[in-house]
Amino acid sequence: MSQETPAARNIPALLAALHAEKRSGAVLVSGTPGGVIHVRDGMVVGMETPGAPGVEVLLLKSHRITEDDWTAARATGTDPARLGLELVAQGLLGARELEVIGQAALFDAAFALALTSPDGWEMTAPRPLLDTGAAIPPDRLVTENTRRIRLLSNERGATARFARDRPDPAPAARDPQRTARLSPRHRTLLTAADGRRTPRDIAFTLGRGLFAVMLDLRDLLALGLLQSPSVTLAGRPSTAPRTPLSASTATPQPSATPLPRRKP
Amino acid sequence: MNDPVQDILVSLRDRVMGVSETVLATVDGLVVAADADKTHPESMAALAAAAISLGHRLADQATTGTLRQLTAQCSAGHVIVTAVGNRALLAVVTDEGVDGLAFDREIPTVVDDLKKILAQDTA
Repeated sequence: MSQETPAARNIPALLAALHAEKRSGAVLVSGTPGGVIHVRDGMVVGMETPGAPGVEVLLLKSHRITEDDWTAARATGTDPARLGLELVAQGLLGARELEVIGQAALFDAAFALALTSPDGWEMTAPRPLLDTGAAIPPDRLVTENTRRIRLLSNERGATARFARDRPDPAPAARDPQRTARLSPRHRTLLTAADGRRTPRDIAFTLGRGLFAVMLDLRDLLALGLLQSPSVTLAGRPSTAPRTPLSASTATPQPSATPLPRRKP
Repeated sequence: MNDPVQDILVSLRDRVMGVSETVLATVDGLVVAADADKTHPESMAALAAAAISLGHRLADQATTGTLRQLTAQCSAGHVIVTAVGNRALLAVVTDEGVDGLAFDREIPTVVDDLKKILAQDTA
């Protein structure tokens, strides 16, 4: 198969061209975040990006599959691409469930990639991918991305800024009366948002989708339970080579420079 | 104004998706600066210093040249320890989805910037 990569002005156009030609391969996207888009017979069957949790993270962080079962399935010597199917064969996961999780991860990765403009892309031969049975026509990904971005803020730039924000719990979040009526899902999110994590970091921490996390964060921001983080200042000690002080200057002054102490 | 070292650590977390905590430590395991919340910087510094010194000995024993970086790959993230000159080291905690390409692209500049700042420490 030595077909030329179709000329396209953006990734959706490229995927549409690949769909029309029923091509298979992997599109390597460079950018922040970059990623890999897996295409089989013109259908998008998987996407991997540092910007959104993949199938493995969703299964393990949610404790749907235990670490031991995952390691055991890998130890059976099956092709890593068939690991999901191995979990199904062992009765640990339903085949349909695997497909639903695969689809959710795929839509979520597409959303994460749509938030920034890529630096470039390159079409290569098919690459190994954890097979889930998901296969989505590219135009559905585009419509879903548009819907998601519109649902969050009506505009891509604002949604992208929101995705880089590191929300902090507002003082109101410590008021039990205010948080009592929240769903457990929102309460978990309040403990995960610490002013250091972006929505993407929270998604990885909790093993939930990026888009789902952003929707819930938006609710909490609207309720005044989250705010933008405050900046803290700090100095640092010197790293100069430690040489013993000369006898004349080394007068015992116990309070001057306390020894470094380990706290707990 | 913030300390430049602190700024470098915070900006690493900003520029590389998946970086969650960083600790800059001396080779004898004392904290120089930390951008950490969930980990205990003093303990991270001590362990990272011990780890990198073991790494040097491993490299020596296996005759695999100079140690460049030490990575602990874990089920829910990674710990990456890089030497910063011969007086300091940088320990970075990431989640499992870290943007490895961006990390590999950024870390040489970060190490170089830190090295230049730390080289000014003379007393």
